[in-house]
Amino acid sequence: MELRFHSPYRGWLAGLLTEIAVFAVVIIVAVALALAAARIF
Amino acid sequence: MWVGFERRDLGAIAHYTGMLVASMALLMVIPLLTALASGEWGPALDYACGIGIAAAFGMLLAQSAPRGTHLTRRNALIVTALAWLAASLVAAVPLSLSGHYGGFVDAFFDAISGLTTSGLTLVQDLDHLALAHNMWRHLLHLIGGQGIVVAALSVSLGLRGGGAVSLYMAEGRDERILPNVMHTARFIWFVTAIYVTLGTVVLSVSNLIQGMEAGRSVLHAFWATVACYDTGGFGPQSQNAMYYHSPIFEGVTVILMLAGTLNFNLHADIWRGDRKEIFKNLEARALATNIAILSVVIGIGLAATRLFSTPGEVVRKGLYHLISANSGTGHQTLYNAGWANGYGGLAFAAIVLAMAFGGMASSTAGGIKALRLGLIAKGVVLRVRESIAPASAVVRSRYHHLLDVPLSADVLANALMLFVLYVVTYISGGMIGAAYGYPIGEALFESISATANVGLSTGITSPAMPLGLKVVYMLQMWAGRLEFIALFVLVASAIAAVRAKRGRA
Repeated sequence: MELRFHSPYRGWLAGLLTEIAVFAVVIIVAVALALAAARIF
Repeated sequence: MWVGFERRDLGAIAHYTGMLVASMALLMVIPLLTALASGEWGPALDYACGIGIAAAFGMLLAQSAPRGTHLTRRNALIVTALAWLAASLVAAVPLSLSGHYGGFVDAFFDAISGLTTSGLTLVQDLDHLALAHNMWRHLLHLIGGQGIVVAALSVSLGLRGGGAVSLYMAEGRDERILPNVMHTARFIWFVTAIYVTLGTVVLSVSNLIQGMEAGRSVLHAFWATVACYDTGGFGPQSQNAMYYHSPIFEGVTVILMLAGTLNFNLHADIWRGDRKEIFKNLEARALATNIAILSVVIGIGLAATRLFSTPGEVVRKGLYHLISANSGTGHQTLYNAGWANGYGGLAFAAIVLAMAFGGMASSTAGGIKALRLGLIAKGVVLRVRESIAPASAVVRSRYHHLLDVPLSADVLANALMLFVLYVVTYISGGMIGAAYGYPIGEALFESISATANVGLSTGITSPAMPLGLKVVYMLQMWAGRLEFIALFVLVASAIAAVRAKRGRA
């Protein structure tokens, strides 16, 4: 069996953009939930 | 078993502690250069003194044993516990010489707070602090957030050989991202460099748009980026994040806080191309669930107040603090007195819970950690499933954290032990604060903020607070950052050494 090691340096830009997109989604969902809760209650 | 120290143990501990302390002298060159470049001659002298003391103290200790001396697991934990204290001690020297602190204890408090990425501060007249001192305070966040050992490893500062791996593990970084510990340390710095560069550029532009002078824009942007990415919380202005009055600043810093609270192993997996990991990972799911539930709570809580009930206030005074608290950053857009006056009980409780829970493990965040909360939740579900299953059935549970792993009793016990230790420390600190006469709610808030290395403050942390409480918060910041175990090993080893000495006498 051949063990292959993938360097995290090669895909850093795509990884960085993925992370920022995920953070943006988390923030948008949190804002939506907080505003909806504030409106309903 | 209680094992005493032999001479070579003490030599190895002193050697490695000395090497880590000496690294602080190297780091002080940056504020020294800042002082010289900006013509701050007094602060330049403060850092020249600091470099001399750190280098002399560090090298003196390092001479106790030859380079490359083997370090056992116990001794590595002791070095880590001592190095954070000794590094804070020498880091406090230039701060105490600045004239902005009530005495050495206050400067030491800020150095511990900086290195543990807490952000609680006892500095006086912060708005007129020299650039060099501000640079130093924020560099403490940077070096502490990455880990003193990681920082020293990444420049191979005399830590090659027997001690490197033991020290790395002792600092609370339980997984190795790359096969070699030195390469792992460098990868951690690589991720940091990318985020710090990006954050500094975007915030510099934001500051320029706000009308700030160019040089000041870049410095403020760098400091804010470091303070948020390393989940620290210091700021160059007494009004902290509120000074900027900028939605762009707040949006960018929230992203930096989330990036700082992401487990470095997750960064590595995503950057290797495994983008699905962030959606499958138990810790990421636990943190997202935590933020979602507390967002609803804070929305309801602020809607009931008169001061912060508009949609803008719910986002900028509510969610900003929620992420700041959950990530362990401590940047705030509210006067300290605002927590007790006008914020409302439910929203206040949401911030307290967010601070107590904390971010992800193997990141710069503090607190109980989302992974442990996720494991405990899995454990509760497992116990319920066991209770309703037939007596002959074997019920098992698995979780995904980088790999698919069975939920073992050991893992669950470890998560529960740390959970209990954090909660006991939170409550103990709150009761001590209450004993000094502060309202219990605010005392608990401050105690959790210190232990979880957050830095949000109701105003209890001030130069005027009692000396005893300063010492308690310093111990809480130190214990919380090291997740207790290194501290317990230090105390247990000291007791063992005393017992062994008595036994010989």
